[in-house]
Amino acid sequence: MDAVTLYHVRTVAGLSIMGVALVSFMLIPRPRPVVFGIVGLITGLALVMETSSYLMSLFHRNNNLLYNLYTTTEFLLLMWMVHHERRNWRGWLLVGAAAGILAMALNAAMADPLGDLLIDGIVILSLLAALTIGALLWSMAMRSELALHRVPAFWLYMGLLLYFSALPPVVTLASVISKKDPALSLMLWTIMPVLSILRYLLTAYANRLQAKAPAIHG
Amino acid sequence: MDDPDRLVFAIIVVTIIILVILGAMAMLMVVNANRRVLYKARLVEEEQRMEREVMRAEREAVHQTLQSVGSELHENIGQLMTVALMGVRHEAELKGRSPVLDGTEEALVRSIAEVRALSKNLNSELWKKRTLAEAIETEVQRLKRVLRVRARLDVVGELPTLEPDTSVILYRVFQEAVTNAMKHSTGDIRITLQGDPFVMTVSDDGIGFDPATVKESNGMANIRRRCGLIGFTAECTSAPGKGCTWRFAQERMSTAKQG
Repeated sequence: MDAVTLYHVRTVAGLSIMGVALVSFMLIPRPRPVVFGIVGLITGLALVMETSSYLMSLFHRNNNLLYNLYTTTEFLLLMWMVHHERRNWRGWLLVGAAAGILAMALNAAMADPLGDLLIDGIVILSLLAALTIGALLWSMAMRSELALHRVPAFWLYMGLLLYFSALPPVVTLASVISKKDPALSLMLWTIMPVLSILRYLLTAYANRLQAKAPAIHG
Repeated sequence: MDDPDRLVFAIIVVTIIILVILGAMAMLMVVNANRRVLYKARLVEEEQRMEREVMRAEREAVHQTLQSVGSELHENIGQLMTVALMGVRHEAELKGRSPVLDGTEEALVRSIAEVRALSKNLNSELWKKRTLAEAIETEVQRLKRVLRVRARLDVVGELPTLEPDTSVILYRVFQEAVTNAMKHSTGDIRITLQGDPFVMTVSDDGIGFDPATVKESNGMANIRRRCGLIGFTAECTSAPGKGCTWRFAQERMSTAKQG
């Protein structure tokens, strides 16, 4: 299978899984927990963003601006989600959000946000998101009266942790070796769409669990 | 690096990432499981503490009521009967003795003695002045005298001094066991008290029952629950035709002072 075909297969698979995750979110009976609502919103935005990026790529257009905007929005929505779950972390979350926005702003100032992917800023956003989700999961492990695997939100957060904790090392590695071995760098970049598929699979599973047991919320 | 090597490298990176995440997930689940076990244990402890508090409050309310009744019996009823006795004796002195007056005087003397004994039994302040053995002996004598039950108390060795609350509960448990024995036995009831660690047994030679086939009654469950709250075990041994033996054994030294 050549690289172009692989790209199409990978993108369509990713869009399909996002679609499944979005449908599974809509099947959660109302009133839906706020956490699931926010992740549902992120899923919807991701689906729109990825679809438009895919369409733009078919016309050989650059989607970096869209991606830069999307990652910043996604990061802020995640901080809002964590704030909803742990209101007493408000101070730290505000500091984290400010640090993330500052990182993106600095990267945008040093690069071309319209044409370039703000990799450094995105890596810092991902690190901050991974640390925050990790802290939330730890807090859940210390508090939950139910076994963790029975709590739907646990799988939601694990999917987010998987994606955001993998992004910094993979993207950094790919960037570092891009000049020495561009082919390997390209191969490493394909890891993130694979992890994105896993992320949305876990999101779909979490939504399904929540739909079956709406009274349970971690 | 050629393409297959690049692919292998990429797969290794993905595998490492997934393994790290799985490890994190396992660690979170273990931490959560440990916390839940500790939480459940704390919950059970808290429930027991609450139950003990409720029982203590109930006991205090009952004690107060019984004390009031005991005092009324002694001061009011007892006094009235003493006045009646004095009246009968005065009448006997004035008009001479007769079988009716003698019978009335004897009935009044016995009634005053019963009222005083009952008043003494109801007055729970006595738990601070009398031991469990003394209380059980008093009750055994009353059973023999009033209900014509063949009952006997044996004390083996030196008994430790128990907290008043523990004595009260053990006394109530003894009363429950004896009531059950009287329901199912027409023979002897034997109570044994052994010291250090403290063990009380109540046995009868009645019809007995098969514990495997007979469902535990509320009374039996109540006995076990009360004993559990004061650090005592309660075992019931029985067989058809072989009577029944209740054994109450102290399991925690903190409920008893070494006398």
